[in-house]
Amino acid sequence: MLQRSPTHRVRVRGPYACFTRPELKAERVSYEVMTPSAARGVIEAILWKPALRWVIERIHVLAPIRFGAVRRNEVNSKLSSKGNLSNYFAAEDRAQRNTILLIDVDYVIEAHFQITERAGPDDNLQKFEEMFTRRLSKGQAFHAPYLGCREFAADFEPAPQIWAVPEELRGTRELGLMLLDVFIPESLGRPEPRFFPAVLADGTIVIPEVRQ
Amino acid sequence: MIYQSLYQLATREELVQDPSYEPWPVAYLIKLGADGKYLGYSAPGLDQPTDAKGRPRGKPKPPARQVPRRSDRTSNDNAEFLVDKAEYVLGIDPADRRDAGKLETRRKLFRDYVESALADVPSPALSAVVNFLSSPVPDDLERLATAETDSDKAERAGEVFGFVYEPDGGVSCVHDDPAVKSWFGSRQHESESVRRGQCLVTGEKDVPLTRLHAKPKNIPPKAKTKGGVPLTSVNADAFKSYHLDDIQCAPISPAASIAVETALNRLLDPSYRRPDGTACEPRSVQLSSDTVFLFWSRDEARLDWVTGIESDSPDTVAHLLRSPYKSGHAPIDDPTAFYGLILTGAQGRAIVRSFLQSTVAQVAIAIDRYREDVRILRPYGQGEGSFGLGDYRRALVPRRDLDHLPPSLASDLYLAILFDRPFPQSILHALIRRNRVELLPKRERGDRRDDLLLATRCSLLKAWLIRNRRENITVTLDRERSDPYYRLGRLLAVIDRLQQDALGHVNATVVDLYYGSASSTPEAVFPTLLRRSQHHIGKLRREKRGLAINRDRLLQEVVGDLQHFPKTLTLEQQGLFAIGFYHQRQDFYTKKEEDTNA
Repeated sequence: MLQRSPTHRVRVRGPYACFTRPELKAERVSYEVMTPSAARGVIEAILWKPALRWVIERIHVLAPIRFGAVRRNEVNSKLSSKGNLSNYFAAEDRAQRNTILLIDVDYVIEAHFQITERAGPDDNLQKFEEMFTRRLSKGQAFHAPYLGCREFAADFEPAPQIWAVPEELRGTRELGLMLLDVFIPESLGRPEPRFFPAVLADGTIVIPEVRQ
Repeated sequence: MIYQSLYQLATREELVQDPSYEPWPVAYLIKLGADGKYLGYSAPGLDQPTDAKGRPRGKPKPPARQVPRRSDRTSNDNAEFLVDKAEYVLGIDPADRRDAGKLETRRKLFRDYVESALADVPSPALSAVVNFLSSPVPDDLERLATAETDSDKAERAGEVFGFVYEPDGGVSCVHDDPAVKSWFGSRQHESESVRRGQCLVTGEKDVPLTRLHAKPKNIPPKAKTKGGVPLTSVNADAFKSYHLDDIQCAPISPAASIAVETALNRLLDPSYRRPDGTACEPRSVQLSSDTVFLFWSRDEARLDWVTGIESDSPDTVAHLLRSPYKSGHAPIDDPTAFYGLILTGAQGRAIVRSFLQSTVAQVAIAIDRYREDVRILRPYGQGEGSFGLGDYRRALVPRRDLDHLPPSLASDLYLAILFDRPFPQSILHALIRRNRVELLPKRERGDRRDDLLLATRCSLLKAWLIRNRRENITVTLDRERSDPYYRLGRLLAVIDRLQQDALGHVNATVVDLYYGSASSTPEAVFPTLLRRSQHHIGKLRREKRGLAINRDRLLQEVVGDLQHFPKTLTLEQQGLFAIGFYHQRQDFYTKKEEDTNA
């Protein structure tokens, strides 16, 4: 049985966010709310080691859902990690693409972590607990956490104890199938996306547990 | 939610009865008797496609039938099953582009396909087709395929032939036969990707995933989207996350993909017909040369009033909003979900500009509110009311040329109306700007000026100020209104009227010369204007004393207790100025109908 930490709550906000729908990747359209995958990304930026596996439990939405659109000149290729960029010319590789994003987002992420098989002899729950709490309150992170796309940097802080659910988010709203995360199942050996039916109830989405 | 709501639409409206078949216009039916004996061909009567308002639009086309789903063929040799164009069916190219060898190959490919079906489905109809395909082309078909003029050639080359086996009744086609259909259907599934996974539309786990994503047709600009443009496409490295290409990154089952594509085709084509032949209600509005707005509801609802505001005043749809529909609800209190999708097809991809969700009731209420906001007293005795959206758009651009309209403006305005949002700022700018440049265009004949353009703009200005600034503006002249901007507008109208009364026809009126400066820097201009108007009153007193007294009294009333003239006016204040001007002007005209209006 894997040990699990108590639930941590992190508040994340930013002026722009784009949690891209996988079916509309080229001309991005964001989901209405943060995906568990993106939430995991934010938390992992604060603290992650191979010894840890973060599990997202809930996502609370604190600000009304507002969409906006931008048109940007993007490039079509990815940079090679090998490093030889001498014959890459962005001007020849441009495409103008539309992005539908979220404006002024504010979330509280509830998550806990588990110790994995890759833990060392000195790794234990308490140690990482303290590390995380400390880093969270100091605002420390390995890289700037972002809201879906790297260019939308996020501000993070420990979550408040209570908050007011905005008027527009009261009630229950079905968001359809949302990306849960991209997993690498043992059987398959390559990454595979999984989806879950997302329901926004009074500003909160409960993330189902994933059975491996 | 986009894909899911489209999938729900396809299910509710029964748009896809057999996913392996799709609608396609079949121009000619080749009739075959027993053993493939050629009996002639027929051309079913043509359908006239209509636009969203039911008017004829485009050339008449052959009616669409359900035919085996076509492949993504472009220019390579690839025969479709049982229904294809002249190059494949007859081995003749009406456009004379291909050489004989290629045509022969194509006909053979077509025949081979039918033969492979025959191997599994021993139907006399199929064998008749094979026999026909193995024999030389009959003369009349050869004549049909060899067109005369260039335009005919291009057209004929794309036209598609189907087969009818007379001994089976002669009504349905060979490809309609249930055994043939299921043979084709199962073959489709085999050739689809073997990858399995969770479909992100239906949520079903472990289903086969499609390699062909939805490619809806008819997204504007139509010239560039022939053959359809894909909505989902991961066609460059930058879009592959985890090195997943599009099937793996966006896993969708074939049934879901076909349903979504069919739903989009249905929404995009005002004259779409269901597989059973029934027509569908139009659900699209073209917002600009390359954007289209599609809308639908979750449950069946009456939505014809959504397009009503395009060309007519919203008053025409008012009663529709309140009449109960089959569902038992009038649109104005129908709680079912309303979806709006704005698409553009530029750049070879279908781009989502916006996706909005609301309820039918909310949209109905929003339109009702819009109707109230734009209500104004219209010129030429038309009474109170408003104008169509097309008129409003044309009022925003020079010379009524809609190419000058920034496309985002058109869609922002439309969405603001439907979803009860504030109007874009740029609308205010455009209205004021146009007023300064072209306030009262000269009519074609006579001395009269065209008030309609100004009326349209003031109607929209009124709505803008009410929605965005919570102003309270009346439909007709408000004599009690004390705000100086409105009054100054009225004042200018009175001064203009005075000039007309005193001097009659003048080439350049006070308004022509001074509207711009009067509405933006009143302090600089009004003292001069008032001085001039005194001269006009003086002249009037000598000629028509009664009128002079009335006008003078009106002038005093409008000036009222205005202490001083403002130095400058903001855009919103200029808007009030324009409305004041228009209201006062209309007040002059509505009293005396005699010869002051055409």
